[in-house]
Amino acid sequence: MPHITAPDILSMDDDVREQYERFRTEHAHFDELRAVLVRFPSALGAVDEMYRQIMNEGHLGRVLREQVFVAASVVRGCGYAVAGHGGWLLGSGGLARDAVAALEAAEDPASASAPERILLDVCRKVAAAAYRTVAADIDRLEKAGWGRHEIVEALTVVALSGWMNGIAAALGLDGSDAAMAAS
Amino acid sequence: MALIPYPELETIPAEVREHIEHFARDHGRPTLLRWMLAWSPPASAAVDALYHPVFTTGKLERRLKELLFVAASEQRGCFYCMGGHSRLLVHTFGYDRDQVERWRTGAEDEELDEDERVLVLLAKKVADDAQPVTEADIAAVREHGWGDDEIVEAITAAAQSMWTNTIAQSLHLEDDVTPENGFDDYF
Repeated sequence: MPHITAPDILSMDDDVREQYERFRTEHAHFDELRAVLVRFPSALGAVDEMYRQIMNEGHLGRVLREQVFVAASVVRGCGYAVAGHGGWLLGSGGLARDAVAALEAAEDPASASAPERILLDVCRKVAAAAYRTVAADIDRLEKAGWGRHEIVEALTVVALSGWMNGIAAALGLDGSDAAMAAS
Repeated sequence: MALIPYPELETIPAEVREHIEHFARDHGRPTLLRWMLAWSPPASAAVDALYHPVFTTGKLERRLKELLFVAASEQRGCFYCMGGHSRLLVHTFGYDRDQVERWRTGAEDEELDEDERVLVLLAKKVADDAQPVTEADIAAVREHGWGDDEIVEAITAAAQSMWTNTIAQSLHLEDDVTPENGFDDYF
C-alpha cells in the first residue's frame, strides 16, 4: 500500500480521469504510481509526455532504452520500475526471461552486443553517482560507436528513471502493480 | 568543460534554438541543460512538460517548489541545478543569497517557516538515494498541515532534481559555470 493513497476515480476531474484511463488502457502498468499522481495533474501529464518522448522517439531502439531503464533502476533498488519495465521487455520487448533476469541481477544479457554492454555499464555508473562520470566514460562510449545523439538519449533515459525511482520510493511503491502487465 | 560539446546552434531545430535564445535574453545566460539536450529533440520536448507545468501549477507556490528543488539539488551535490535555481530565488522571488544558502540545507532557521522546512527535509530525503522515505516521514509532514496533494507536489519537485541533476552532473555542465563564461552570479 502506498504511503499516499490515490484519489477516488469518481472524484477526478473529467479531463484528468480521461488522461489517467487512456494510458492505463493502452499500457496497463504503473497504474498505482499514475493513480497517486492524479493528485497533481501536471505531474501526471509530465510523466506521460516524458515517456512518450524519451522511451519512444530518437535514435536508440526501444528495447535498448528499456534495458537502460531497468539497469539504472536496479542500481537504485527500485523494484517498482524494474518490475514494470522488466515486464515490458519480457512481453512486448521480446527479450528472453534469462536476459531480463541478468539485468535484474545488475549483469548484461547474453544477447547484448559489445557496444550495448558498454552503454549499459556507463549508464549504471551514472545512475549510481552521476557526478563520478568522467571523460573516459564518454570516450568509451564514442569508441564503441555511439554518437552524441545516442549518448545524450541514453542519459535522458537514466534521468527519467531517476525521476520515476524517486517518486516510487517516496510513495513507498513496490513491484506488485508495476509487474501487472507488459504492453 | 562539458564532456560532450554543445551542438552548434545553427544545427539545432528552430523551435529548440528559440527556447535557448529566449532563456538567454531573459536570464542573461544560456540554459546549458537545454542546449545540451538539443542533441536529442525528444528530450528537449520532454523537458517542456517536465519543468514549467510542474513548477507553475498546483497548490504549492512556485517559490516554495523552487526552494525544494534547490534543496534536493544541494543534497545530490549538483552545483549547476542548485546554483541556477538559487539564483532564480534571489532574482525573481526577492530572497537574499544568505537566506537561500541557509534554507537549502534544511537546518532550523528563524527566517524559514517551520512547516516549509519540513517539506525541505522531505525533498532532501527523496533526493538522497541512500535514505528510504517511510510512512512515518509522510505522517510527520502531514502533522505540519500539509495535505496529500501538496506532499505529492513536493515529492515531484524533488524528483525533478533527479532528472536534471543526472544530465548536469554526468556531462559536467557545472564545469562551464565559471566567471570567465559569465556565470559569476552562481552560488
